[in-house]
Amino acid sequence: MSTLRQTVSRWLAPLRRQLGRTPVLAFMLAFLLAVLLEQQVGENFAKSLEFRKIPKFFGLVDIFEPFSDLDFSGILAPFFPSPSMDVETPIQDSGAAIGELVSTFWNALFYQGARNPGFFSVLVRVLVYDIVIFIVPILILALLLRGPTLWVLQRLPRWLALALHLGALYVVLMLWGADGGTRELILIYMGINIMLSASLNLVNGYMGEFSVGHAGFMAVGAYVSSVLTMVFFTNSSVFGPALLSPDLGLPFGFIIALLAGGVAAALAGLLVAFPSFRTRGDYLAIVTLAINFIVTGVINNMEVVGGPRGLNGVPLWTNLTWIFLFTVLSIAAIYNLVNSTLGKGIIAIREDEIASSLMGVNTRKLKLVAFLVSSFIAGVAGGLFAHQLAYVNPGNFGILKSTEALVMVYLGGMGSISGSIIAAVIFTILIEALRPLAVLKWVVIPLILILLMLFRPQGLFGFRELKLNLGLRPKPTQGQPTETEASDAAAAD
Amino acid sequence: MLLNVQDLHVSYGAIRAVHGVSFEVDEGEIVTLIGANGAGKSTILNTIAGLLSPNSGRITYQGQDIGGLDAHKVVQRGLALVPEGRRIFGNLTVSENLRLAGYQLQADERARRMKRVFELFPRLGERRDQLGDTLSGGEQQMLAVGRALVTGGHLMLLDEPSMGLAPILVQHIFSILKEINAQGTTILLVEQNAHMALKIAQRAYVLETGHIVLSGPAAQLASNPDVQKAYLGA
Ligand SMILES: Nc1ncnc2c1ncn2[C@@H]1O[C@H](COP(=O)(O)OP(=O)(O)O)[C@@H](O)[C@H]1O
Ligand SMILES: [Mg+2]
Repeated sequence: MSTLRQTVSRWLAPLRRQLGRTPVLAFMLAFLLAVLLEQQVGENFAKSLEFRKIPKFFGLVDIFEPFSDLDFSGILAPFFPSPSMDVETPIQDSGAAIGELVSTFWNALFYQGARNPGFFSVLVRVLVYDIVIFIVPILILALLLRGPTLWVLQRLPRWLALALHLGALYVVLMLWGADGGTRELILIYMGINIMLSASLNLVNGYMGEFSVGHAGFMAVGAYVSSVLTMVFFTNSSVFGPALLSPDLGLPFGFIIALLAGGVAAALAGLLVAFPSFRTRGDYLAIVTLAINFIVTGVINNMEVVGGPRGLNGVPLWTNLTWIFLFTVLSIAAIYNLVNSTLGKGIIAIREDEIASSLMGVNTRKLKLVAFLVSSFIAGVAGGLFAHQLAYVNPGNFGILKSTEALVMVYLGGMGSISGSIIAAVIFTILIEALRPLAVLKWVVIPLILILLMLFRPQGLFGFRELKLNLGLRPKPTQGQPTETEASDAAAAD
Repeated sequence: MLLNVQDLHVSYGAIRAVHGVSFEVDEGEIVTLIGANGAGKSTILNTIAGLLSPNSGRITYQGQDIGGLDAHKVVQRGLALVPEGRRIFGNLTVSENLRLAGYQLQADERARRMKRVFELFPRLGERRDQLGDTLSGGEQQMLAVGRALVTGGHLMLLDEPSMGLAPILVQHIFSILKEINAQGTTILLVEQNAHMALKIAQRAYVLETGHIVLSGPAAQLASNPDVQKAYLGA
């Protein structure tokens, strides 16, 4: 067993070494070409693998589809029969339901009729599709492109090289992701989740507080920006004709509304920041929880915005471009903050608040900064979320949403921006992929969390950043360039 | 007069810890404040450093009132506290601890002060990439003193630096304190370990339940029979 693994890894070692020296940009370009390949032959290839359509999101969203018929309700229902139900002996009926569940599960794994393939069949075909269309072409192309991309990158100033990465990422996302369907939807939620987890990580990971009410700030941003865009830039049934012209809505009205939502959320953040001067730890966690409830409670009681019925008719303005823009800006802001002097002070507060104040750290100011920035970004994310859903209600922003943000932070690891990004990506895909499992989803996800806490309590990247080979020129201040392949720590995106 | 404390009263809610304490520290001195556990030593130092605010009384430093200022503002005047229990950043390395100590400084000034710390404590230099938690007690105390040197360096307040250390390490720390003092840092040292403190200090105050009961030249107090009986185990 171990000798097999050794042999395999010996075989793969040269490839891994080569790939390690390949800059991220080469992979992006290779991915771009693979996307073009998919556009050319993907449809036919998918058909030849007996898929009806091109697999959604690399097939990740398809693989659990076979389980969508599982019905758990039959197990407990006989014990709590409704008046119309005819139950002889609950145990027997429940037993029958379990038997049926097992057989459905068995079929879902292997075969359930010509039109509904089993899990293993889908899995194998998805793997074949991904390997042929994406993995192999990307590996080959990335290796071919390594030389030219490094040659170009080494001749560009750092800022331009970084901008080139962002540009390439944007093009890749637009070309592959802007399908107006599943892909775009998943990518939009991904961006929103990245903003949520990275901003929460600022408070929970870097500053060491335990905020459990992040969705409250999201709600403030969502409602404030929605009301603004609806009142000023949309003819809606709720607020009547637009006060300003609908033509002004995009892009300026939307930007202003999103930022205003962020500012409003930051003001709500003050409600946590001020108590944080005097209390911390568990007590502050209770305060954040309370803020979450207060915000949703207030919205529930505001008839102008529909109360518990929610607000309908929010313009559908969020798209991949907006998401890309605000996600990149948020990550850049957080990255620069935590790597600045202020950021060092924020980390010092986490380590020992008294010691840090004895070294000249203005703890109140930094807590204020951290809570304001964190809640501002959550507010903007809320605004983007609302303009994606078109319909918001207070239930969207309850404690469950806050918990999702927490899960992403601890999955990715405290004090790690790249961890938060990767966790948000994984979590978003997981949520979508497990959707067919319905109720079971909320068994599987917590189970993953428990296993994570048991075997990797620091999360994927606790207090570390993922190091990417961006192929940038070394920083001028660092003196002499070491080698051509200067690997650089940077937040992945 | 560098530091002057006049009729200081401090309480924790209803608990009055310090009632009417007055003392002074002159430029260049080593002054020690000795007293039993619970006498109010830490309370006094923490109040000077800005961690607590006084109920009444005056604290002047270089002629300016600093009573009730926030800790990060007090630090700006060149006054640094080595707190009780050291309070090292255990998850950060020695270098990172020292760098944070120079939080308010320009990079070059911070680097200069860190270099001096590594010269004074070569053992810290050897362990600059070691995590604070993995240092021995003596090394942690050195790091705590080093941090205060980076932060302030004009007046250093030390709260029981000998606590929990073997006698040989205490001697080492105290000899470094003398050296730092000779290089221009004024020291206010709070100790239960009166023996060592009275040896290196020029003047001393004896604190009992929030009052100063005795004061004078350190050598004179060391030979006072009451002090010997109560604090020197004679
Ligand atoms: N955080 C606190 N809350 C209430 N009482 C305190 C607190 N800290 C110290 N005290 C009380 O104040 C008095 C002086 O304590 P302290 O200054 O720590 O003494 P020392 O440092 O001389 O041992 C003691 O009676 C102690 O119990
Ligand atoms: Mg004490």
